[in-house]
Amino acid sequence: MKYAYFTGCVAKGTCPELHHSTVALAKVLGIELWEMTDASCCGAGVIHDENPELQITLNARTFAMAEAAGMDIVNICSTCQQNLGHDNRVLRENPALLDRVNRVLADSGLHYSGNVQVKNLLWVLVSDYGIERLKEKVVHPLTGLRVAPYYGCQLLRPVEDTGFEDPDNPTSFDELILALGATPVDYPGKTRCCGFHILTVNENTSTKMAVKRLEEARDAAADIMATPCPLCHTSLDAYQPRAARMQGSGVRMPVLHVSQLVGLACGIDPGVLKLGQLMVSPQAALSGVL
Amino acid sequence: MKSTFVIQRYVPGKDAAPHFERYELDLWDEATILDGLNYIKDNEDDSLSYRRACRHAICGSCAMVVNGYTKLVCTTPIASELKSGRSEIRIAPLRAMKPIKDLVVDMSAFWQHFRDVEPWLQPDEAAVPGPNEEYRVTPEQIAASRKDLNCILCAVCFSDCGVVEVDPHFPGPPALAKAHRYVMDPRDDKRKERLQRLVDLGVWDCAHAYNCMECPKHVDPAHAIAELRRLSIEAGITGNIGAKHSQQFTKSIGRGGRLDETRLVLELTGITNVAGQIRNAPQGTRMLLKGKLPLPMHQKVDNPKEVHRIFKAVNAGQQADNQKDGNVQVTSGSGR
Repeated sequence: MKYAYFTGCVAKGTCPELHHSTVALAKVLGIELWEMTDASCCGAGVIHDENPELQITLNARTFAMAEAAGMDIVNICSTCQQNLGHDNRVLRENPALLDRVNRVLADSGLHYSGNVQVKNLLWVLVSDYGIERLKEKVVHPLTGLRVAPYYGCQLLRPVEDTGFEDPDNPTSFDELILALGATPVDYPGKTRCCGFHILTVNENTSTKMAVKRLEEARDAAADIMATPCPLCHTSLDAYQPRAARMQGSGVRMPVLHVSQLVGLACGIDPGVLKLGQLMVSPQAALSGVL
Repeated sequence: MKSTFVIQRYVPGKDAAPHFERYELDLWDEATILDGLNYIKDNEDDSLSYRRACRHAICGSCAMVVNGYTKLVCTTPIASELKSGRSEIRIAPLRAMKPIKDLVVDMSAFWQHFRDVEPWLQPDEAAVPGPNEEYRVTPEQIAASRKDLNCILCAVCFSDCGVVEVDPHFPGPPALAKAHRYVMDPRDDKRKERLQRLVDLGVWDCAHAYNCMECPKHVDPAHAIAELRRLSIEAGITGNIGAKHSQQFTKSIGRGGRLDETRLVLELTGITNVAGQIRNAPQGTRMLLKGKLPLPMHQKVDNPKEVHRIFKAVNAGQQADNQKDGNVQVTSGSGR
């Protein structure tokens, strides 16, 4: 298995532990990653707000590079998935637009024909790699650990851009957690928004949303949360102490990346998975399984 | 088909708090959730209160939260809620509004947001034809508002919006879609004033969660919001944090191909805004200590010049288009 690995900005910026743990996990699972070090930002919907064509053209450049390498793209961020997925669909459905975009790409010696698929790491693990195969790699079952799967919003909606599973009743993350020997926790906020996209625009509202998600997981007796997205992770973990203080909440909930959670069950050293870079230490929560 | 309804019951002033009651039903296979509620009201408990009227997604009365997601119960089959192994159907009133009784809520806040966006045509009076003439609009001219016009004011998207849930000031998806309908109407003469008003009301507070895309009438408020933002920047309404965030973000990608988050936060706070920088310092320090600030240099893509070239080429193409018609236009409407 080989993928064009789209890191996105945040795993190369304020969430380096996500990149390192992903690379470590892929190695253990035997998934080959070709890191797209020349791929630009997915636009995050923000460039789209200002200039949709610019975002689509930048992403077409990314697709063209993966296509030339003969690989599908794996990404590690729900916003990357949603924006790359959306722009890929629009390009595939609109030959005139694809043509116009290719005229711009031609000067870079690139061309996109519409043959690349974009997949989030969670989907690759559950679907391409497969739950059964993953179970064989679990050498350190996380028995007894109560994990709140945070699907978040952009990995599920809009359905025509994501389309992996029913956004009202997603199961992939729960299946993954079961495969690791842990217990998935059901809670009301698992598919609702963490507020990240308005963190700089309206911090009060954004942190209210994040604290709500954290408290919902806590109230469902989760030991930890886990997320497939570094933006959710920023809201839920990196900003957790600040958000809790702003909103007068006593919540303290460790939040792991999918790659870290799976990595632990596959026996990868917590140091290699960079658990020390989490803002809220998971040490106490993980003491029973480590 | 057997099913279990678990319904939120509440009479303010009488009940201390909302509570759930169970009802066991055995209805025909195609029965909707509204059929189930009607059955309970007719046969088991006539005190159960809920809104309903047309029974086929025209009146917009019967929106409620079913197993965690807001739906029109008249078009939601019981069977579809029971698939994937669910054993019961849990029904609660719309979110973000005060319950009046059982599943009926006070929708005043919802309507106030509509009033705030002035949902009526405000044309240039001089251009309005006389009483014996039509004020004609072609289908092409109204196409951009077409989806907005499908709204039945059911509040499904309002109830499911994660921002509305915590922020009573946010207008919410339906009022913004309604505003979009007037902003795009060629007869309206108040586009810039409307856009300024929408920026003041909070059009930049949408968090892009796309819950509003599950609209029973396919109104697509998320697209309307994205387009309102773009048009507000186009109209020069850029002295606000939302527009600044968007513009600085895009500039950041133009420089290095990848977002420089640290610089973006510094710039948005304002380099000379000492109080703001001091306020951000503890968070910055915490992230620095965890090795979360990529120092000393932000990592660019391999060929930032190529990214920069695409910025220039796209902008040049768009400028050329503005001078001639007939080309492919990419707008926020391209599926979002």
